[in-house]
Amino acid sequence: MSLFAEVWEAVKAVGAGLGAVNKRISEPAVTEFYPYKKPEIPPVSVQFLALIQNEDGTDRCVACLQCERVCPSQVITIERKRNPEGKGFVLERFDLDFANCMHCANCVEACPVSAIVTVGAFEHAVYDINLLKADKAMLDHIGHEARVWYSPKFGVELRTPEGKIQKAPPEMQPGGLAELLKAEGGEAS
Amino acid sequence: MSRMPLPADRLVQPKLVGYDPTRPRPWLERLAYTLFFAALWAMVILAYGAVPALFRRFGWLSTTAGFLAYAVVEAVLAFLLAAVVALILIVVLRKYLGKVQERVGPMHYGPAGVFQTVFDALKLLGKEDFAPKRVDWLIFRIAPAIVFVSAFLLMVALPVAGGWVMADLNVGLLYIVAVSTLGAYGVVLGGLSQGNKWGLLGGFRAGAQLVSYEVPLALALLAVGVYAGSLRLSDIVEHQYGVWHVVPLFLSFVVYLVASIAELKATPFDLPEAESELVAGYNTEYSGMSFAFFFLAEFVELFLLPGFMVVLFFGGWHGPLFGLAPGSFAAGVLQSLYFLIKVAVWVWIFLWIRATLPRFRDDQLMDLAWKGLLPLALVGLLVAAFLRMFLEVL
Repeated sequence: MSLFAEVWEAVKAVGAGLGAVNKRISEPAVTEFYPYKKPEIPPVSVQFLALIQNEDGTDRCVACLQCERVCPSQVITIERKRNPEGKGFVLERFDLDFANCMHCANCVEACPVSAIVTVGAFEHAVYDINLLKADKAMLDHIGHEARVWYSPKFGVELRTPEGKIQKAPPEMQPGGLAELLKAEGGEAS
Repeated sequence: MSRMPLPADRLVQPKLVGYDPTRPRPWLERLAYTLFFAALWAMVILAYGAVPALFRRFGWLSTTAGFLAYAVVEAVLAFLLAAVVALILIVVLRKYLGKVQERVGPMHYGPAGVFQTVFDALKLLGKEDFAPKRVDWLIFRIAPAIVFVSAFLLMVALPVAGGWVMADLNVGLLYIVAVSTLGAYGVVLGGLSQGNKWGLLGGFRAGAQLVSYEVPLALALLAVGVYAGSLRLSDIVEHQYGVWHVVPLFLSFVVYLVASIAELKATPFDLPEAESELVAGYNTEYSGMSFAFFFLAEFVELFLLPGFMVVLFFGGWHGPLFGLAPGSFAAGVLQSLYFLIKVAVWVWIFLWIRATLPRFRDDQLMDLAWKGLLPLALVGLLVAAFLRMFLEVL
């Protein structure tokens, strides 16, 4: 009798497998049609780093060297000088080697003034590795191009079409409030 | 100041050539696949029904030249049918596996990728047929031919409708066993001749698998022959008018199902070409059209083994004829449609099994074949013999 029981067990197991496979057919495919349909990157996603300038064109960066100090890959190089007009420092050079950057965003965490931020631009594959060594002009350029960025200190910020910088509405912000708002909206709708 | 220069094509939207998978049109895709099936049906009618009827109608078969012309035309048609079967089944397999794995599968060439295999075939035709330095050249070159010819020869004995068969052999079952065993020779020789350890292992495994599954397969076929009282495939189909053989010969049917999956080298038994262990097994070193012939043979067998299963166990071409006279051309067309639908259902089940089960280990296959299938096949043979005896007594 145990032989028949074993055979029956095997038949049941194979049947369960076949049933599970058949169920998968009706489920929608998860394929991304990437180059034809660009995905929408959420506002908080570490794809690329940028330096943000204020609306009047001055640097947010105060050259405190926190990011250079915290960087585990040591790809940030900053040179600064004393501000001749007042107190503090001004930047002379801000280099970031994206070829060796591991996108841990520790610099973004460390920045006290939200000058270096994460942006959602992600198509940055190049044929020449030297093109990935960014200087301050390049980082400023990425920052000007960005429409939305994130830093832990200020949260998600938006650049309006007129060039104003403003804080994003709470439903775009990460964390508890946004989740609460989403949950309430989900329940309401 | 060096600004990072963006490549010119960075932000360019790539142009989509062919069918747009982002805007699916399901009716067009279903229509395309239905037309594919219709093309297969038309090829079957042409090769098995129309051309022989034409030659018989004008009495060309009585002359030597007419018979030779008939043989040549039938060979060409059988080759075209094999190509059409492989073209359809490859893309169907890839779409089905895609569906099961929640992917899309081929999608760009034609609606839902129906023409993907055509472009694959063109690519393989254009590739260099490269032979490495250390291969045994003659055997290396002859192995794909053996594999393909064995699959192709099986097509000759396949009865698709009443009287529609290229060669109605009176030893059809023996012919199936002999010719399908020949194909395994090609696999073994192809594996052993290429001077590559993956190929060698694949060949060894193919040989071990061959001796394991051929015996139960032959015994299952023998049970059908004993029960039907004939080795001729048309007689076997005619014998199933009351009840399909799958009911009395269920044990033999199970043995045939498992052994034919092993013969297909499909997933539960794909030891000879295990992608995750051996690179591609016995066809590691093949490229271009030699590889294409291995591939073609595999998919022709995926059509033929369910086909013979339908012939032996599921009543072949039997179905309601709606008043058409059996033996007429119109009845043959309808019967070939019934046959193809039954085969399509069994091909789907074969693909379903292939998509579900993980690979057996070598010793597990031996275990299954020698300790499971062989006694089962013998019991099935015994059952068939007793049933035949009772039928004769009654």
